Amino acid sequence: MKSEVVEVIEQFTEVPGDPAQALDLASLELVQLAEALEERFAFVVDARDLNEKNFGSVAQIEAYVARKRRG
Amino acid sequence: MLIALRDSDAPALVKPDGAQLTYRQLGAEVEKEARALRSQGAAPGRIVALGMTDPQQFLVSALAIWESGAVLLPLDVRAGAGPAEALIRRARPVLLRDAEGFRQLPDPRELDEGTALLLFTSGSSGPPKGVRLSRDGLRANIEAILRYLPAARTAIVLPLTYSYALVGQALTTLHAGGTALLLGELKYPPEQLAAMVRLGARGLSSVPPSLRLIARAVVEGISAPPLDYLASAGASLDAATVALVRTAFPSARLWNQYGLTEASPRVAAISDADPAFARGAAGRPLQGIELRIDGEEILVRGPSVMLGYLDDPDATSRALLPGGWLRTGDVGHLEEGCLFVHGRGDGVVKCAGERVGLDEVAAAMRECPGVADACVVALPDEALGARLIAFVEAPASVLAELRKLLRRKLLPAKRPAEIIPVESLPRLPSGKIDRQALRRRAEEA
Repeated sequence: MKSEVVEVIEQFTEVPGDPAQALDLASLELVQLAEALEERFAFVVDARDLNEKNFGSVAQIEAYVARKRRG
Repeated sequence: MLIALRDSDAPALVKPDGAQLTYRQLGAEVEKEARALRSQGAAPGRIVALGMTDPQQFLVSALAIWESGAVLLPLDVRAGAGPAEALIRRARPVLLRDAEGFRQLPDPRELDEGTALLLFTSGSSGPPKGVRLSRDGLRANIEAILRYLPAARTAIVLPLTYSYALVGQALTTLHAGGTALLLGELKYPPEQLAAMVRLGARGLSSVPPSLRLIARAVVEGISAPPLDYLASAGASLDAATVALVRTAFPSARLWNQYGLTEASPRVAAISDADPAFARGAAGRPLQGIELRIDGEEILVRGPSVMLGYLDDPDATSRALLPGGWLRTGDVGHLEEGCLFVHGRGDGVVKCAGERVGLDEVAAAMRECPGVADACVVALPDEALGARLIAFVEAPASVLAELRKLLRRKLLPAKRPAEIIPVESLPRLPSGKIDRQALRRRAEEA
């Protein structure tokens, strides 16, 4: 079952089979992705959280979204 | 040559790590590259496809292509081999220049010698159209932009395959003898900010979602570069973004701009010193540009209007009216010479700066086995400009396959946010799909 986070990510870039694999996101796709996640999951991304540690892979984005939703 | 490069030791291009090419070095690199291109067949009227991903190498090759008199066709190689090959088949360049070297291509075509740039952009229907831009038109646009935008140390964060970044930022900066900070490979706003601070950026142009996140990072406490101005284009600049940018960069001038690839691209601009800016104006016409409203549609006339679409006389005659007026497809009004844009008038929407033809997306979906018909509607979206909702006459079981196909065929911005399978699409008595009904369903969903 595909996660909701993956559904958002795949609008902007190819989602690799391995969730730990690095995502190929260009800068414009990254900002679009951040805003789409905010809208879908009703939280606000701290712009300083936009880095490789939080947005480098599907697994990292899923973990980040989960943390933000727990507040 | 499209622009004049000065012979000086001032920095022309700077990479994020600070490595730089002076104007003299850039000139020498361009000369060397132009010799190589000529020996491979680049000549006036011939097209050279450029697939460099490194922004500095991209600009060296682009300037060299113009030095040889040839036409530049920028390829977005990140979109994958499929879309790039489709453009090459349609454009028939003499050469492909990429990081691997030069590849001569069969059956090259010849364009009018005044042509300098071929950019593919989405229209309201069918595949992307090749916009033919002239050397004189590009130069006129560069000079018109430089009348209002200073070009000292300009940070470029957008891909150079966009007319906005290539013409409106890189070429204007180089033509004015300024320094282009090539930050396109930095994807995260905090690292873009850190590079701008390190390199002393004085100007930044981007699209609203990018400006928004950069401004937010500053508000959150990340150091701000000493910007004299920020400029926005590619989508409407909303009041919330303006307020955020003002908070983050209180002493910088803010510009809103309007344009389209078919106009090389800049048409109008306005700064926040102008009272109409606060009322949401898109701009006042640039030097040499005339604006007129026909019905509700914005028409543009001036030296930077395109020569026409590649191999598409019908689309060209629909877009270019007698008297040299270009139909923009955007709806708006003029108030004492100042332009206000209301949005797209036809089936083209902007998703975060990317023009998306709704029928193009639907056509791609119809190619998937099991999909009998498809229709795409766009809902306004504060963050992205538009959100695409697709309705397909297909069983739900084909959706996974359909998504896979769209990833192969379409740029990310063109892929629908939601795909809703239906037994049959609502139709008007004429047999045409009832878009209004679908838009209502999308709004309810």
